[in-house]
Amino acid sequence: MSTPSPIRLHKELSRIWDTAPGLGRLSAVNHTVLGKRFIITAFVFFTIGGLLAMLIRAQLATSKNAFVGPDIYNQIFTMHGTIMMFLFAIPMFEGFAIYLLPKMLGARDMAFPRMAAYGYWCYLFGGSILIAALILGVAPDGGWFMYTPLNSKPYSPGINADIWLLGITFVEISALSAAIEIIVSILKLRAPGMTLNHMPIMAWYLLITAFMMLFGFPPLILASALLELERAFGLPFFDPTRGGDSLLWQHLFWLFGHPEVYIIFLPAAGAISMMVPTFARHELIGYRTVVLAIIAVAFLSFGLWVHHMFTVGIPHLALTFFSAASGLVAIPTAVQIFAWIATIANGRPKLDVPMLYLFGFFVIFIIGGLTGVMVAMVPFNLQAHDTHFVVAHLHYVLVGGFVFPMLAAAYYWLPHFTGKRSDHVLSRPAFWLIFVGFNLTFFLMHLTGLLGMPRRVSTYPLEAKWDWLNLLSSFGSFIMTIGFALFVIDVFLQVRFGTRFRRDPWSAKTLEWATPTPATSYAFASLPEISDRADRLEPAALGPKLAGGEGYLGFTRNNWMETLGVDMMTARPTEVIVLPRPTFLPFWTGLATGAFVLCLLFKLYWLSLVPFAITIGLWFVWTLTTGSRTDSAPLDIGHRQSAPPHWQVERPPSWWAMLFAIGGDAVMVTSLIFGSLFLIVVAPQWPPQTYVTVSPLLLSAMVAGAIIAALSGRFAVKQLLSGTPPLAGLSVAGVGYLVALTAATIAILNMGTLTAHAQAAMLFALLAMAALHAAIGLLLIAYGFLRHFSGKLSALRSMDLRIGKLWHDASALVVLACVVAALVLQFDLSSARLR
Amino acid sequence: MDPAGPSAASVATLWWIMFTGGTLIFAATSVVLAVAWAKPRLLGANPQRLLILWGGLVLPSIILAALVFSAFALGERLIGASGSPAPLRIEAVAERWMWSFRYLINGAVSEQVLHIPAGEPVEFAVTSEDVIHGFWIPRLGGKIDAVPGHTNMIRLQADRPGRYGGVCAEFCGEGHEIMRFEVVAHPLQEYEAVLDRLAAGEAP
Amino acid sequence: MTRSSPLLTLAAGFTIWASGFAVIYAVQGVGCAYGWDLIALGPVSLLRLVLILLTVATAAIIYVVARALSGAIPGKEREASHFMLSVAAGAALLAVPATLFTFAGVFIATACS
Ligand code: HEM
Ligand SMILES: [Cu+2]
Ligand SMILES: [Cu+2]
Repeated sequence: MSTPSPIRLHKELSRIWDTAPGLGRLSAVNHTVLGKRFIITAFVFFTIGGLLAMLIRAQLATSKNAFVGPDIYNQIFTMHGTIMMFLFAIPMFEGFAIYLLPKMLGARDMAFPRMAAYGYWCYLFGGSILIAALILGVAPDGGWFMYTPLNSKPYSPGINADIWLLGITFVEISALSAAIEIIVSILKLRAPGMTLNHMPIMAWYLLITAFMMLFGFPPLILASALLELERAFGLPFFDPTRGGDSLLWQHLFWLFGHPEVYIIFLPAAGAISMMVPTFARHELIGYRTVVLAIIAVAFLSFGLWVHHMFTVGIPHLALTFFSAASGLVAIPTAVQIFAWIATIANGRPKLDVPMLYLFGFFVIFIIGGLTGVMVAMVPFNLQAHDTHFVVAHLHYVLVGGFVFPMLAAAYYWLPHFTGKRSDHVLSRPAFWLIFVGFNLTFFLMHLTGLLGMPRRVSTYPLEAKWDWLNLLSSFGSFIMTIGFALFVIDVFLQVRFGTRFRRDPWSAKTLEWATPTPATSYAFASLPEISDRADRLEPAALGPKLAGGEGYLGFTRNNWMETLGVDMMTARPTEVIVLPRPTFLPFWTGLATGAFVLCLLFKLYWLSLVPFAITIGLWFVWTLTTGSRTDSAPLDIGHRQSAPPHWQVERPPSWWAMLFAIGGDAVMVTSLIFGSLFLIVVAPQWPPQTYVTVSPLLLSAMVAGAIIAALSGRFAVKQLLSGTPPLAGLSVAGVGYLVALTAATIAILNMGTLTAHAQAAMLFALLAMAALHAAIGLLLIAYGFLRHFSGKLSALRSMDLRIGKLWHDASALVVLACVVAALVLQFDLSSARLR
Repeated sequence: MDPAGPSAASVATLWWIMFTGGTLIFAATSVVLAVAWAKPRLLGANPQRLLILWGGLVLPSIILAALVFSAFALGERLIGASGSPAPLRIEAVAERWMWSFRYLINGAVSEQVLHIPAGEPVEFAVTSEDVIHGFWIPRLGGKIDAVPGHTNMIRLQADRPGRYGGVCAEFCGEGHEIMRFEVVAHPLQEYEAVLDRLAAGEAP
Repeated sequence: MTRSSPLLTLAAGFTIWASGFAVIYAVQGVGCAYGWDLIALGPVSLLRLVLILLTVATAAIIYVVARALSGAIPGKEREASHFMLSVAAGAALLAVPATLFTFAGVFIATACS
């Protein structure tokens, strides 16, 4: 194939990759478009959350302030926290990841563009539900961690708490899909030759963060589902009067909640690790050490959650584990900070606007880290917990560790978004206003906290003498707001009036600066070969070569949107990944899912089946355009190499996606089983007066059905690989699942009342979890049939069945585990107690 | 912080130690950062070893270990099961949005006002009738949550007679901020009489 | 799995730490609920003894794994697997003191309230 001119190549690629204008924008699946959408939407939510913060500070400016009453105030701070954590921080980092990752890794897009689009719509619709509730005055008002029983039906009868539970879970879909997409993209969609140890360091940060999301969010999703079941149908998982326990909620929530804090910080640290080398003019020192530190942080952060629960009455011994681990996590964090300092020390640093914001980060985040170690010490925590000291600490960490790095990142990558740079007249005053305002606002809260001012109060007595501290603090927050306003104006001016530049304005050494700016939809006209660490490149020289089609895939074929998949370890090209074209399906599916959530919100449970079925149906429609009806010879990828299309390889991206999805699912199931054991051991009102039991016959039928399904799922694959149509295998597997589902349904219908005691409720939850897995398995079987009858399966094109096989194996294990836990729940173990 | 009891006092000491240490660490790190930026040669020819190994790993580990183990010891004194004889016991029950106290010596009860003796440790058994609340007398020491279905213990002492403020620390809904109570510490010799009057339904 | 296993090794050391954590915390909770702290075995209670053994066992297992990992580091410096295994070995090695530090409380603190 001859290489076309850069201009012609650009035109051809743009024709294939660009999103249509007008209403066609709703069909966007492109990472550049979606990344920007996530970032802009997250910033809008940040503005809303910030306005709420201003209301908080206005209310707290003086004692006995009658600006808003406690009812409104509770909504304001709950929504402030919720918006900032779920609708600003996480989506903001997702936006940066989606926009930057393919460009840093040398790919043309993320692995699952339609999932990213669907995730965006879930985020937007879910967020809008919350904001609508805020405007209507029915926003959640039980604090951003939604403690029970306060948020259970008797004490929060309104729709407020349901909005949180359903709306946030809806948004969580986008976090989970982004997590899987980020992992698979990093592991599979890199430039040829870019082995894992050559990746730009931010890819490591994002990879590990995405794993943390995958394992951190399921406990919260599970907890939200259980609490919603309790609120809607009276199943007493968290009700201490009926064998539930409010502490179960706290455990599940913080099992998510603490990792969440690091999920927010690590991507920002990744961005810092990209910017510091650029401004130090020296590559990152201690690449390997930093990777090690990230791994340590990721794990340790899952062993700290009880430091939010030091005062709930847990024995001191158990507290020491969490206290020690909380202190320990400071060490890998310190290692990273000193790696950045060492990078600066080795280089020839130059001060520019992003670096200025990074200095703000250093100062604020270090203080936040130090107060973090303080509150991790149990005796001090008992004093500081639930006071404004904690409010100060958490903002030093979150604003220092996320907002400042993101402001720096905004200035750093804005030229990439816009193709323009500015002279930064307003950037420096904006920094100083934000920096000074921030410290004024929050430093003083350490003091009010130490003086005994609890958090979450809208008024405080005049005698407490906290007035002038609070007034100054509120004053500081208005200075900070002016700073943010300047930032917005500054960005606007840069977008509007900035001067154009060619490539790589900061003389950075990473691949994202080798794309044309503003970025084209296809990112790279041809994909580079990377033979060294990908932070030692010369983008200004590399870019034109790639634009001229000198790399891999420097041509178009069949109007396909192509990028390369590589082997995880060796980074040799293994497959040509053909990505889906722009489509409205994610939008419609998002709308249908939103309609489903709204039905649940308004308790229209029967009606909710309609949007639910539509959502499932649309998922099937998604798959109609994928795959191929014919076997294909290996495809030319340039440089005299060739690779098969992704549907003909053993482990395509979607295979990995299923594997990781199962990983997240395993955490969800484990959390549920943990929940039942927790209630048995710890909850009040145990043992129950009467045990609800399920016939062992039905339980065995569930297990047998699931195992048969798994075995015949494997058999179906074998059939396909040996050239026989897999109909027998699929049919028997379907029957197996039907048996399991029927048994579970009969069991549930015969359980009698589920609301009397948590034992029955948990038993139900376990059976329902097993049934859910069988139902999903059944859908995958149906999918197998669909693929077969549409001619998409052959011995070479077997991935659909092999992906199904992964699920069938996993769901057999899950059904077994749930059944075992269900058995344990039916026995009275209290006679073994000495206490 | 204006401690008025031994528990609060030892936490205050811990705080001042941590505050001083924290300030020093912050100052040192800032200086290192400034030096790295402006005069890196002061850090030697091979700064990464010094910085990452010593600054990032070794030094923080030592400081942290010292801090964590002293906090363990202090924690053990404050909330561990200390061997001393069972002191005076009072049940504190939270309910939206008020506190009631029952004195186990003679079964007296009081609402919104807590009577304790000065100079003597008191053990509180804290629980809740509805949602989670937090039992906290800032000047006497740490807090403990009032969790429905569970009873939590905390031991506090007021050194001198006087009046102290108590608050609900855990957010519990609309009345959270007004869920305060008053603590009156009586001289030890008058305390019994106070409880007797309480039991008889008179003004203490 | 062979082709991707170096990736899994990265998590090895701390996965054991996390599993040890789960087990130790669970044993502590169950032990208190069922009163294992009331059974005295010489100077310590049954519960404390079990917890100490679990802590030491966790650290020991991680140490063995760390040794195995560092033994498996291939000689070729530039290869990705060299990088992965050396990071994996380093992480596992650090997980040993992390384990002892995290669970140091089993030697001193009050087990049940
Ligand atoms: C922009 C300036 C900000 C100001 C002035 C501000 C102010 C405040 C204040 C005064 C509170 C305490 C409310 C109370 O306890 O009564 C609070 C709570 C909180 N803030 Fe912020 N905040 C800001 C930004 C952020 C950011 C960027 C985040 C997260 C990324 C955040 C997360 C939270 C959370 C999670 C809470 C706890 C809410 C709760 O208690 O349920 N804030 N904020
Ligand atoms: Cu935390
Ligand atoms: Cu309260």
